[in-house]
Amino acid sequence: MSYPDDVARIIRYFRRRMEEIESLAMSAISDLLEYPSPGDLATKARMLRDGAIEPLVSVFDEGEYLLIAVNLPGAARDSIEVRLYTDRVEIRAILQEETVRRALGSLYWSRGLREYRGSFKLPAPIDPSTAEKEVRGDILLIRARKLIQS
Amino acid sequence: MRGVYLEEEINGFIFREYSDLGRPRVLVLGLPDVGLVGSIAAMHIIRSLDLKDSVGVESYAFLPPVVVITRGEPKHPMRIYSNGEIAALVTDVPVSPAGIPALSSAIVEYARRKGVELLVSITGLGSPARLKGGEPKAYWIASTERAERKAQSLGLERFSDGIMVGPYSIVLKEAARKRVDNIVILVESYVDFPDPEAAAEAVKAVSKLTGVNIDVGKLLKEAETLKLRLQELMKGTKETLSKMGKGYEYSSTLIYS
Repeated sequence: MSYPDDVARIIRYFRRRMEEIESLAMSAISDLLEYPSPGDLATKARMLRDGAIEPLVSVFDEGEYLLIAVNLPGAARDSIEVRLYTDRVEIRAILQEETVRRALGSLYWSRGLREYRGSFKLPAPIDPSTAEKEVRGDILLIRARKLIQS
Repeated sequence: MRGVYLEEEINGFIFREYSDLGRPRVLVLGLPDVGLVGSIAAMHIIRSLDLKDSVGVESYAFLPPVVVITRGEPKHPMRIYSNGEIAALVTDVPVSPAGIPALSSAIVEYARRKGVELLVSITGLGSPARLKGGEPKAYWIASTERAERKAQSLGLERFSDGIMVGPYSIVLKEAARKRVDNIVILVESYVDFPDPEAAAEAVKAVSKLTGVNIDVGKLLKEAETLKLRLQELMKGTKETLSKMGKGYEYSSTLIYS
């Protein structure tokens, strides 16, 4: 490797480290300036338990189908894992480091928050084989046919 | 909670003025509701216009025993920020459903006593269409003919038929009774998820009503971060909304047009 390549590599290394330090400083400043609320504190307390965030879920009855919407802001899109059962849905997704750092500041550093994780009971049984999944922005949509109960 | 120099009690709610509220012509209400649209919009207005924390609102009967500490300073969980011209009310805690009638009525009376010319209520209008990627559409409702004329300048559609549940319904009724101008901005939003994009539409409407330009670029840029931050407040608000009978909003009215 030539001398200029070495220098370029070293500069890139230091630039990355500087960006990390800047990001940490920005999140610390953001923490100081933010309006702390009990809601925030409750979030932090809950997440302190296991390092995972339980996502918000909404279920809509569309007659023959159930539409399940899961809000996953900050999740890496290709990491979303869904397990469907007749009576519940299980969700897991990896959180993007930078978004969590900006949103939750020092908590990220203290707990190393990494993922969304949750299991949700469905209001009506579904046939998992009929499920269609789609991601729109930060919302995961699952549409599945309801099982007709005899 | 610095030294209080003016304290008023209305319907069991104490309004503690600890710095000069001034005589704001507009009071924006940002109570937690569908999609947290009002809370997000009001907080953005406070930050954008650099409004100052001026009044704490307290009720030992209807608000949880909470004090918010900001940089070592204790604060009321419900506060009014003001720059003397525009004011905004926000709360860090949901109000118990039993306290909503008293609070809503107290807010209208306090605004009347302070000479507020226009009360702007901001709320989400739960719309499953938002999940399909639709742009949030905004509507208005006005308490008086004068408020109606102001609202018509928004270029938005009037909300014609439906049922509104929650604190803003009582604010609207009380405002109409006391001839206080109240415009409710309803923006289509996610039902159970924080919706900064819907809040941005509401902020645009407030900009038009006040004639003060409030940029929403930062709000939209920070949307994903905000959604992540507000997950827990949304969970608490969902519980309160279900106790208030928010589901009635999806039923049809008895009188049809």
